[in-house]
Amino acid sequence: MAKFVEDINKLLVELASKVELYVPTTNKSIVNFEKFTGEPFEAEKFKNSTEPIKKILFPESEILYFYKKDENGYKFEQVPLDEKKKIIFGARPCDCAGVERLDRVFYGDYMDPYYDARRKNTIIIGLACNEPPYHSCFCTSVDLSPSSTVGMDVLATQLENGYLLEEISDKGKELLGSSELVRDANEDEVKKAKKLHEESHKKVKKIDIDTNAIEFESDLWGREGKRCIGCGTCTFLCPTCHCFTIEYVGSTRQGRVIRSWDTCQFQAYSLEASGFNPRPNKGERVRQRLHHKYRYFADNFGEFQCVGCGRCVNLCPVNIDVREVMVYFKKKKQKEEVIP
Amino acid sequence: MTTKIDVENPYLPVPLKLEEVTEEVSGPRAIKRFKVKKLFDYKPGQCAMLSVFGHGEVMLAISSSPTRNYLEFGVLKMGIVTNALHDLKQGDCIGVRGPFGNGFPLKEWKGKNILFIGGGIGITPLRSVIYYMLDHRDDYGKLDLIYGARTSADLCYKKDLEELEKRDDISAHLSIDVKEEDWKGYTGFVPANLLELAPPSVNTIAITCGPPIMIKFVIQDLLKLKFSDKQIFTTLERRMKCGVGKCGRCNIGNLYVCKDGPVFSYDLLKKFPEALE
Amino acid sequence: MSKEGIKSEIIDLLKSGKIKSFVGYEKGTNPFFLRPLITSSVEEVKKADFSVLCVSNLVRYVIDDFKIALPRGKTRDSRPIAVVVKGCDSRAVNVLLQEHIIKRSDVFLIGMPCNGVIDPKAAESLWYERNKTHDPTKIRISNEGMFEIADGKEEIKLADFDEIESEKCKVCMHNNPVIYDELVWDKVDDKKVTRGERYKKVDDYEKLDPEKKWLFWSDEFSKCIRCYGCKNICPLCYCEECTLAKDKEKAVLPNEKIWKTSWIDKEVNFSNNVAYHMNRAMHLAGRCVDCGECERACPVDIPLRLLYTKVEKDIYERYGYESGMDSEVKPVLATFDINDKEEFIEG
Repeated sequence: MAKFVEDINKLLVELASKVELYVPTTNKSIVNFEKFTGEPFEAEKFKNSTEPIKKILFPESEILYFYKKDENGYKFEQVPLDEKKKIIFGARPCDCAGVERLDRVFYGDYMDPYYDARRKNTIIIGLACNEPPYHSCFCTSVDLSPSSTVGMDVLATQLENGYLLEEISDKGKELLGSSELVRDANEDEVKKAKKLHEESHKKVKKIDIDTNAIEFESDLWGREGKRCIGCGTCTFLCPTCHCFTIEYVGSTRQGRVIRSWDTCQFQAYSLEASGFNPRPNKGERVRQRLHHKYRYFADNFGEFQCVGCGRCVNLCPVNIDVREVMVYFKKKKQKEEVIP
Repeated sequence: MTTKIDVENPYLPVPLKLEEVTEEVSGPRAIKRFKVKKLFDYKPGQCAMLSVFGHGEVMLAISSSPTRNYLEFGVLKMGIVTNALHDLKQGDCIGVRGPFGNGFPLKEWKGKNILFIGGGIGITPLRSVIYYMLDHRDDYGKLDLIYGARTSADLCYKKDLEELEKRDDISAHLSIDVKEEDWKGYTGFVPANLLELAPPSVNTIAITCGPPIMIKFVIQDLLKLKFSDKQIFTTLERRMKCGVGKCGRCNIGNLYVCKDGPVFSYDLLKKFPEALE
Repeated sequence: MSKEGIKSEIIDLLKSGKIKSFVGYEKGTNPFFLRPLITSSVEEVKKADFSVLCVSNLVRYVIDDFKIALPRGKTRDSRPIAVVVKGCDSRAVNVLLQEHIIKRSDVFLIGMPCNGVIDPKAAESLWYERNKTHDPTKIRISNEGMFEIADGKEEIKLADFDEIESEKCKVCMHNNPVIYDELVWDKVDDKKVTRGERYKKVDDYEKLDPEKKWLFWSDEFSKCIRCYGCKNICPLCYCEECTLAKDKEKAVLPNEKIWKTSWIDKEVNFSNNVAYHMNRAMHLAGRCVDCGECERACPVDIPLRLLYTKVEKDIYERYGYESGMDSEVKPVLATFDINDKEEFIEG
């Protein structure tokens, strides 16, 4: 059942009094999810955050454990897991779906205890895009939409007189049930939200992504690779990219072991001690990124490791555009099918 | 998806004392053997992550057979961590976590002849299988080892090799790349030695392990010798950090070498053009 | 010369094998700038364009060419690369020549006199603010400003050029290339920006008290995610192994001691971030040509130009030196003069 809240900021203040609440916060020219300070949230000004909410669940650097030498050898001390209750408010549907992709990785085969501790103590309130915020948005191309509920506990939709709150998970249901500021939504409000969702969905430009059309041996990779500067913008700011490195910081006597974001776009990422590098040039690294997102992940989990947020497209300083690449391969395949 | 593996924290190593450190090969491409307590049960071909505190972690193939009561690693001095590891002495402490990876499908190979083809430090995972099979000798057919290194001084596990040469339940064919005065074995690259020996492919499994370029040519030659794709197995090496399929760097196609490998059949690998470049 | 004239000259050079490739600009999918075009195909050169959207500094692609891992047995083609350079970009070429990273014969320079390029981020946000549609194909940007094409013919002006002009261009003192082989069009008049105007922002910053300065940079550097966009897009960051990035944790030669080439760890924390940016600023002292690419590449909008302009100002005031103006002079920090100010060395 859908709920309704007239003043979202009153609700935010109430939530922030109980748990750690993250909301989109403007810092000069960029917007990020920061701890709620009481500053009212203005939906009209918010498009999407520069960094996805991934950072809250999987920070750019975290300590895994400490080590210390003693007379019997070494002693380890695992860092206490971050089990603080958190609520993230205002995450866009694409970023919430990104969390679901991360779940697949961090819970697959082996469970990652650091991620798990944060994830199970976090409630995500998504915010539907009533208008696609950027021209680079392409969520509908990866089977999502500006109002999809993947990875969310609650979906909020801004209406004229307040916010419609849809319960998606049990966690979300419990949360909404606990506030007196929330009332049951009427039929009219539900209808209005639905209409907004449908209209917004139509406005997102859709491209056709065909997993089987993406070629491994193609001149395109060389061309894109020549232009690529090999920075980590596309991957670090991707809601689904999860690669990391583990490093020892300290001396042989004591120190800490750190996990930090890493990216397949860096040369040293796959460089082996012998000097052999399976992906020595940037073309191969761009290929790896896109193949992993649209082929390998799809083979393993049946969905793309891409949520169509468009950050990699928008923020790439040299305009490497996944949409363009996908369209290129699709067109090429169609041509080949016509002229065998 | 495979079944969930229940480990509380897969990133946390166990501190272990080095029980024995032996130098196998000296000089610039030094190889040392490191022996520690048998921390876990494992399959031949599986790997473990060794940490040298203050330096980092390195993924290594376990070179001892699970039928023995210790863990052993043969380590070539190569990068930052292996250099630091070589500086350690008996009694020093390292961290170990594992086992990781799939290991060789030894049960499926019962009754078959096994052909081992190794080069340089690539002998380590093979050694685990060889001793496992020698300890379960009746389960397997003919055993052949083709092994080579740059020079006779670079041959790893020399004592073991000498012992193997004397045994009659396995035949060892050794080679070196460059000509030497009193060398009795074959002179030339491993793939050439393989073609020379031309072992029959009937009811045989070939396992190859060594530098990428050697693996590439060995596979080509095995195919020439009428081995089918399903009869050829190899282990792959990639840079690794986590060992549990999350850090992403050992990704080949939809597989991760650390958890879906390092043992692959050529039948599977040939689907991934990137794997054997 | 004209746009078409220069293109046909490049095509001739390519056909005759006098150059090995061309680095220019082409239309991409982002309407707010032209993206780099790196090609040796005649067909692709035809796509090249020259306009106020030529934001990128293409000189870094010359360096890139030296770094490509070639297959065994293949050697590098030593013929020149034709590359389009604006005023600032041409100065980067000079710095590379001064530092003997490239030879003059490695490049064929196509100079593009420039009255300023646009700031893609500023243009984009203005466009979102002022337009009604969300179709970026309906947009035209020229040196008159930004226009929306409403119905095929009619154009609505969304912004004047100076609203969307890059900050770096507003304070640019060298509008014409200082080194070139060919010009796309005639030289333009310099904007006659004075030193005072150029260093206005730095002056304002210098007036802050130390605590305020620290607070300002603390806030900015803690945003950094260390994607290394600023380093990787910089035409002057050519080192094979950067001391500030573990970008080539190279295997050590067996008989050598372990090299830890990196001064900072991969860990993203405040102290590493400060170390990274401060070191980089020092490494760019007397070298940075203010092409502004680092600031443009930064996804979290750290005001890197302010940092580097501060260093530039210090060098200028101390030694009267301006980077990249002459390929024949020695780099300022590689020279010593008895009259150099030394007041920072305390007795």
